[in-house]
Amino acid sequence: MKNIFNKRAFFRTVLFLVILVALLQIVSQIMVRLSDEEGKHNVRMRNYIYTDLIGQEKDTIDVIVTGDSEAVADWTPLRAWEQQGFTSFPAAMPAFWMTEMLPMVRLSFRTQKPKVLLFETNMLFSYTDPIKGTVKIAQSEIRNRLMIFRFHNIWKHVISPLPEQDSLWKSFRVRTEVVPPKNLNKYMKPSSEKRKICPMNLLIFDQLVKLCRKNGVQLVLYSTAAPKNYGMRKHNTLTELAERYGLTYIDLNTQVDQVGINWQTDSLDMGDHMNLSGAQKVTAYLADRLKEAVPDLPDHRADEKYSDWSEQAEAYDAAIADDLKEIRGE
Amino acid sequence: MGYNEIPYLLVFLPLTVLLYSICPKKLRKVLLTFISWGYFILCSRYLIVYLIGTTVFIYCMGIRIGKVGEGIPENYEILLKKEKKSGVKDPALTPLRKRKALHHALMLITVIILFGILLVLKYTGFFASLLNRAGASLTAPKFLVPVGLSFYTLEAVGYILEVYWKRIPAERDFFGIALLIGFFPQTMEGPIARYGDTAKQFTGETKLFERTAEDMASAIMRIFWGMFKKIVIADRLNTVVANLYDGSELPHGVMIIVAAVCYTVQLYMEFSGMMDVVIGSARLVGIKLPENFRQPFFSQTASEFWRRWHITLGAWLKDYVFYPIAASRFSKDLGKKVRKKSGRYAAKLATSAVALTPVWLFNGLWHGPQLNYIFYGIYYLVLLLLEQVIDPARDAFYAKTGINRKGKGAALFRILRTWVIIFSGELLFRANGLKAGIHMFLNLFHDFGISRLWDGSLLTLGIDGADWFAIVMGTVVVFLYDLMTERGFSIRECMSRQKTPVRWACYYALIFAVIIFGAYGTGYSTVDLIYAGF
Repeated sequence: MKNIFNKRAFFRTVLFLVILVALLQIVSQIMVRLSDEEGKHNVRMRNYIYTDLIGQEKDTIDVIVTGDSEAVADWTPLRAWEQQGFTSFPAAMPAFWMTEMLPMVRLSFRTQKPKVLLFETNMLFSYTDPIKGTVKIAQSEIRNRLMIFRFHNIWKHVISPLPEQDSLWKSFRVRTEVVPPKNLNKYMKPSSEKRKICPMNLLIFDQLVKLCRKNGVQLVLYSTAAPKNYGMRKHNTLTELAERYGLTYIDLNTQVDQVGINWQTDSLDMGDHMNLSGAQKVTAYLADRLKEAVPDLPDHRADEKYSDWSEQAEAYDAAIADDLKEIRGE
Repeated sequence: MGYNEIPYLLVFLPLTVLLYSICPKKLRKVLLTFISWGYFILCSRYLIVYLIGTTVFIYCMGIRIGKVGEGIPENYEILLKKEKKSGVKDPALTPLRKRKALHHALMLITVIILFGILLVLKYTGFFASLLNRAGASLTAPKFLVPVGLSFYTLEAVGYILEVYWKRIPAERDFFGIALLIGFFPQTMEGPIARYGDTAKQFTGETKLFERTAEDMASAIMRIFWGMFKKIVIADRLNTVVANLYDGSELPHGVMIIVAAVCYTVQLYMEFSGMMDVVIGSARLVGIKLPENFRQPFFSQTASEFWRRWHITLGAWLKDYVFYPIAASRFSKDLGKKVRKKSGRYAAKLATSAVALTPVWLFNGLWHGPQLNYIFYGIYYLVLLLLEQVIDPARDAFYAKTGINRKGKGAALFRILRTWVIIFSGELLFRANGLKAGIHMFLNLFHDFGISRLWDGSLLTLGIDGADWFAIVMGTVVVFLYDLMTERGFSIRECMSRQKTPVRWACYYALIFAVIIFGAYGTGYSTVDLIYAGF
């Protein structure tokens, strides 16, 4: 009877695994390409941001923005380009967990050398179970390295017709609905209380800070203006967190007037997320504040290499002009 | 951490196999015990106290019962009979009588405590709700139930009964007992191992299953095969099943048949798939677990189905419920009385009914505290008794018509008839409560609407055409595999005879089939193991 530890068996096992990993890599590359070409494909849904991220030309992004649906709704890269001339990418997803965020930021640092990581803080307050959280981080890492696990469903479009999806503007989706918040009486009422962040999220945040430092990326925290999600308790916690790590923290909930938010026109869904109008204002304001905080953020607007951004910004402005007027009642 | 989850498959299992392989042979059972307990903690955290408590309890009681039993001679029953015949009390038998009573009492206490824990933790709420329906107003406390409680309780009771019946000596190796009821691949869904199946492998009385590189490869491929059944077919069907059974409106007509078939296929693919993962996992650490499925959809009768489906539960019920009752004095006396009055046929039916009723009530109730599970048990009880009732009529039918009962046509008819029985049973089993189950049966022919099978209605059940395609193709592949196995053709053996490139190509094909066609990631959610909930 052969022993499982004989040399031949060992060699064969290693060879089998090497071929398997190579095959997984090859199929992953094919799937990423297919997925990129098939922009409207079903399989992209939650994964589109990964395709878009991998699809960005190497070392061309100055600011990576991460966060949950708050960041998805309120950051429009082309508006930031127009405002300050830097390039940005929203590495964010609705219902994004801290456990997904960290692997995605790692992935973005593999292909980009951003100067700033702009971190929307809402996801810090969701609960993460330590064991499940660790597993999720591991799963995301595996999926980010072997994209076959993200895009494996691409075969389905051969059989099922594809649903139409909205067009994206540098990964920003235009949302024009207007539903103002019902009651702002309690919004940002003074309080010295704090809202707790679960230990696992703090641990992941700590790793994020270290990752940014290691890569020479300045981490900037911001909380979008959202009466449904923010109050003084979160503000106090985040201010303390930022102080502890020596980070810049921009809380738009305390600067609503400076941003120019009009709750009657800029809210998508009762003060939870920004609509197009709100996103335009928030992005413009944040772009200015980022430039103040990180003066060496480049302005590429005169650079031929980035002409694509200027062209898209023009097209974007033309496309949203009527929507903006309608939303703002102009 | 289910057996279908990445942490188990990519971290826990490889790490276990690695540790097991480098561990000195003498310490392997200790290592496996701690790994198994570690796994239990990952699933049920501090509820591990129940498992360890049960292990210590049956370990001690087993030894005690074994010791008391040693003092009872093999011919004790014969001595009693002799005494009865002679009519004179034998004073020499008095201490034996006491010992026998103690022996019996120890067994009873142990079994009552083991089942008592199961009843209290799992069924308190159910019985309270039944009493409340009858007018009481009880508030039942809610208990956290450790994973696999129903499975390891049966294993523990089986072990105690075997020791009591002196079929096996009491196990003096604590780790043997710990692994008998706590071995990590069996924790969630069985198979319900009996002492004879696994214990000797754990305690080193028999040589551990030799692991060659080919065996390891075969075990890993079995795990992938199980994953194929689970995540390509069963997990996709889960959405359909949830829509049909738990939707705001219950289905009617042909959609009830779709519901019954989909759930049966889902259950089979999931349970048998997970058994493949479980058995494959155990083989990676040198343990051979009993099989739990043997192509059940080729059964020609309901009773045969239960010899092929969840085999270890059926075998447990046969050995520890059916036989003891069938061999009991009450059953024998009843048989004699009925035979005298109504003949042999009626006696056979009466004794069968007496022995089968507790078996099927137990089977139903074991699945969980719900009325439809109990009715599921009763459903099979009635069917199995009917099989016996119509036995003479069936023989007469074949004799009169001259139909070859062993012919292919008759066999196919019986298989299809058994499918109808299985699908109907599973419909009742899965229904969202007994009322819903009965409602679905009653609505089978109401607005039948067979056109809903092709008018796009199936695409409104939460999955698209591509998903249906994957389900159908996957099911066909599994059916062909089962068909070949049924006909005695072993694909595994055939594979082992192939040259390396061919074999590896097949392995890669299976791995990629699981990865590419699996229902996971975007648009799908993780589906918990169905039998882990029982």
